[in-house]
Amino acid sequence: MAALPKRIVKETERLMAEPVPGISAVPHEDNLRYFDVMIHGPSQSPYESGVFKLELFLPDDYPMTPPKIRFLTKIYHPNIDKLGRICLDVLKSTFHTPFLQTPTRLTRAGNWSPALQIRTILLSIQALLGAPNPDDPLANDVAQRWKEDEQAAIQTAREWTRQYAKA
Amino acid sequence: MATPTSSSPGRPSFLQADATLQRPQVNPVDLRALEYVDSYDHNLMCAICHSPFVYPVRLECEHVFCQRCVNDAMSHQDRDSRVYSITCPSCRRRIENRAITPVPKILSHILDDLRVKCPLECLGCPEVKARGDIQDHVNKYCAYAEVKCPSESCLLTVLRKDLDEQRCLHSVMKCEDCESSFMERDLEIHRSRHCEVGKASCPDCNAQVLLRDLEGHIECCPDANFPCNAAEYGCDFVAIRETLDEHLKMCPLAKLVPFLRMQNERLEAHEAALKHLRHKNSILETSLSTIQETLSPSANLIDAPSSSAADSDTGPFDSTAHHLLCLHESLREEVNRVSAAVSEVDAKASMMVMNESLRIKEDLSHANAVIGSMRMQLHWLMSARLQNQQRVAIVRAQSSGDGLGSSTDAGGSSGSVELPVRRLSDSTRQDTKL
Ligand SMILES: [Zn+2]
Ligand SMILES: [Zn+2]
Ligand SMILES: [Zn+2]
Ligand SMILES: [Zn+2]
Ligand SMILES: [Zn+2]
Ligand SMILES: [Zn+2]
Ligand SMILES: [Zn+2]
Repeated sequence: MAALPKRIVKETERLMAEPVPGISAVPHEDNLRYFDVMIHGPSQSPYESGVFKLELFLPDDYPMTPPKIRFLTKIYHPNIDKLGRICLDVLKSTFHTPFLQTPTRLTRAGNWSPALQIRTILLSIQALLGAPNPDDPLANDVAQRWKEDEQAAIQTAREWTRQYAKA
Repeated sequence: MATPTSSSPGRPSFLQADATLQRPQVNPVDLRALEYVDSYDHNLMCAICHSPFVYPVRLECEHVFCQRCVNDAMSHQDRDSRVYSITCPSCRRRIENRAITPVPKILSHILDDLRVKCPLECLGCPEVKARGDIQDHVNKYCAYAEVKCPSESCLLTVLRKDLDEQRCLHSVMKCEDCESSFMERDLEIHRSRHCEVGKASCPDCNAQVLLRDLEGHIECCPDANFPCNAAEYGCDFVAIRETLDEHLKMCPLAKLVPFLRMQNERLEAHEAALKHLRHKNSILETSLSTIQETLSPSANLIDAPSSSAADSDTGPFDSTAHHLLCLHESLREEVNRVSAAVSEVDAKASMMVMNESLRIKEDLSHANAVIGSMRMQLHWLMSARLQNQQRVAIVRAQSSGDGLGSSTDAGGSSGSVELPVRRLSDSTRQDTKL
């Protein structure tokens, strides 16, 4: 394994020394680019009091490309699909959508920047739990339900949280 | 918010990769991988690599990044976008002009002054240098940098500190314990840090421990003896940890340790200050004497002979005052002698003048007498002549009755007669002159 870039060492140290409230990220001992992440559901949201497990991997060219991150805990959310993949612009490389041609749409494609870090990404995901966005969906059926009957969708999200995201 | 340095206590142990056999790259030194000793302003940290800027550049939007980080970001965006424009990683502004501007020199200087540990610290180099000097340190001075083997025929490298051995350290040797082969230069490190077999017994509990763990064992050995905290101040007590704890509660010296240590520190500080002041004082004295020399070279010239005289015969005199008094006395005598001589000369001179003037007076009166007699002679001659002329005139008037004719003749004759008279008076005048 190539030497770990100083930036990753520093980010890890800071994550351990000054953890973000409601978020923890611990690297695997055998692969320091691989993190076990826990996010507490934000209060006043259907995910309140749930603890969600995620996996986070820093690719070789991080921070030039965004970290790869996925929910391991089942979650009912319009922007997170069955496999736990997250639809969040800051998690995609800038412009990284091969079939897009016009510059106006290019800017929508991805918003990753090497100035972002694990800490800010995890905060964005926590914020996404507090503010689902069914207009930019990844899980289409969930988004559909969210738009048609928000109360019922929120109820389902609560139940899933109680069932799968036990603390 | 200060950026924590890598030595922060919160560092998980598994982040401290075992780098003992893995040599850090030192040519060129990777400035991002260095360990910064002091915490630096977080504004000096590049948002991309999270290290203090290395060769920083400025984008159109005035955000600053390392040259290399910007290049990496640009090339990634190029690969992903196929459009010739990039955005700033910090503010996402579109950067049309890819020309990057250098940053003010002061920023580079601040960055170069950040203090870092030598990248070969893991091998034992204790040096801490300014970041701008670290490459120089590694290239020229670091005792743990690799340099060519002193043996002409060997193409391998040794640590600079081993150059003193003046021989090739690359012959292969076997570890006594595990039988694996190492070059001589690596054998010691292997035995003290890595060997899986080599054992040593603890000097205190006699337990057999791996050589590489010995250091750690001694620190926590229950039978290890430790001296009292006040050992350096005279307490001889030595005991195992538990007994020592008991002793520390009783030992008066141990209680004084913080106080004594503080005193020692103060003493040291004072000594250092004193040394400094002494040095300063000597400098001031030197400059003072230089100033004196330049101000009064003449005083010095006068001083010099008298002081040398004083040097030669300081012996008999108890003090400078005494010496000065003697000097004064001798000078006074000298003055008296000189004034006597002067008055003698004066008397001689006035005597001479008097004699001379007397002689001259005599001469004068003599000359006066001569002149007087000559005047008498002249008078007598003149009157004799006048009588003669009168007599002639009377004779002429008697011989011719014509007054007119006689008058013209008388005029002419009288003129011819007067000439010798004038000549006579001239001669008398010349006489008086003499
Ligand atoms: Zn950088
Ligand atoms: Zn910018
Ligand atoms: Zn060094
Ligand atoms: Zn050699
Ligand atoms: Zn061995
Ligand atoms: Zn022991
Ligand atoms: Zn004691």
